[in-house]
Amino acid sequence: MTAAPTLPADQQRLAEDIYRLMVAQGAMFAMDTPIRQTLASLAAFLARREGRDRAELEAAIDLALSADSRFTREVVDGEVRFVTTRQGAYVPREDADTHSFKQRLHDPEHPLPIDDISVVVSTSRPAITTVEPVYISDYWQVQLAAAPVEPEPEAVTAPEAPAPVAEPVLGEVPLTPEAAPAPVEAAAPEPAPAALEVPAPAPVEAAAPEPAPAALEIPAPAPVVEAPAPVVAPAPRPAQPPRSTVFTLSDGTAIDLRRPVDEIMAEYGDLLARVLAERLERDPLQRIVSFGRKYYPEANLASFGKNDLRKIRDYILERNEPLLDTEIIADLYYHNPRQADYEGFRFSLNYRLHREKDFEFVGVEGAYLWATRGLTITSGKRVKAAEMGQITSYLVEGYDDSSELQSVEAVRQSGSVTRLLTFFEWEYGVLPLDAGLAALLPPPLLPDQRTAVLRFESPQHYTTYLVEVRFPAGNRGGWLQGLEEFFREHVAPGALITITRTGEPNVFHFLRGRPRADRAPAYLR
Amino acid sequence: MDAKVIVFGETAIDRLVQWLRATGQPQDIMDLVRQYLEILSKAVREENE
Repeated sequence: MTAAPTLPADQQRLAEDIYRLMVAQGAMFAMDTPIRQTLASLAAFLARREGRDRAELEAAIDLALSADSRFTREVVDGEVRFVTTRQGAYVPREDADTHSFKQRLHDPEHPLPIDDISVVVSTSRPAITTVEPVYISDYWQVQLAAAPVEPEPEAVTAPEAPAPVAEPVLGEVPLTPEAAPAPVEAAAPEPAPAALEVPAPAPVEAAAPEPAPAALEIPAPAPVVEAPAPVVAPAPRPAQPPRSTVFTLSDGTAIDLRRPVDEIMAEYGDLLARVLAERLERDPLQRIVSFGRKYYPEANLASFGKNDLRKIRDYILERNEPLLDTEIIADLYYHNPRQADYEGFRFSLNYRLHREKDFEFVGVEGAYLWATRGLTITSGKRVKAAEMGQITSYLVEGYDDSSELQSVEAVRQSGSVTRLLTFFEWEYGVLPLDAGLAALLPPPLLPDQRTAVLRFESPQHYTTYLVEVRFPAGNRGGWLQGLEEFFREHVAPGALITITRTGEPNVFHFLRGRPRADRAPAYLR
Repeated sequence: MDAKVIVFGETAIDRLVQWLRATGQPQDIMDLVRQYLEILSKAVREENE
């Protein structure tokens, strides 16, 4: 804050008084905001307050404030004003912005020389297609104007033909071909003789019968000779290296696309299918979705809402068994397989149910079965799943001897498995998923599938049972469960049983054979 | 197209999506691979011609 100057005591008191008055007037102003008062107003106020003569006070105030550095004297339209601020003398604010980020951004300290403004302004298309003006700093405009203009290299152009019209000045036209300028002949040899023909005596005589000097006559209809457009041969394109037709997979496998597709499929079909499936699975846009071996565009999926899912779940619980997707579609949506969008709708249903926690896929290839939360598929007892997994762990540990009786190849060819029923299996209604049964039964369709439900029919007894297949996982073996009732009613421990494929992928026949005494367990003998 | 730049499963996958949408039916993975190879072969052949 500016200190009060040293003045005579009465002037100093007067200036201090007025300063306090004006600061009080601008108490809400900013520190550097000017506070103005006219000399007349100040004199009128003090004259009324102190009862003094106004003209005398005006002179005293003018003298006191003019000598005080806290006040600035202004004269506007003949009227005297004094300006001060809360912080003392009024200093006009300077808004000059000489070192802004904007300026530093556009006016570099050590600029590179430019030949073209395009190196300063990007001509690439913006991501948002809005037309916005491109601000070019004045600095660069000045730099561009000051930059030396380099002549552009001329492209291959037709050489300038000599003036096809003969020059009217005969004296400058050479009369003999030898005297013709060399550049003209070199540039266009054909028009040169035509130009030389211009001053031929015949037209000159016809145009001017008087014996005037022929050299001063201008042939009226100057013969115009069109210069033939020189043919510029197109520049030969640089020879491009031959494009490769071999692409390489991530594992280094090179595949030539010139080979027939059938040949490539026969050799690399499984590998390419695996790679493509992985890539599609990792596609962030999920443009193609899959269920099992089927693939379908995500955009074509039919939508299923919460009401649909609740309806399907209620229906499965009502039927009290896993249901085929075709059954659900037929019974709840009344879709006909003859409809064009049937397969797409079916895929959409399976894809949607697979993504829901409340539903579990328990089908196999060719028979898409769905179970839901709260549905009891088989009524197994006493043996827990974790315990069965440990009991059958010998299968994954390499102690599976089932192929001694019947090889895996024989099972695949014959489509049936014959084995002895142990007491443990009979007691708990389970069968270990050994190599023989694994070769007979369908594999899991989905990578994360834990269970499949198959239908075992006994033609000898006209009975049907749902059998749950628990696939092996980790160090736990797989098994079949749900045969307890069948075993108790129709088979004895040690019996020879045969399981056979049928035309349906999820239906198998269960045949009872005679128990063989030589292979029966010791406790049965 | 130069086959060197092909990333199997990414390059020209939009054409595969178009084909799949045009069929209107879910397709087996092997059919998908076969069609994708056709698309890639065609793209490489067109460029070379």
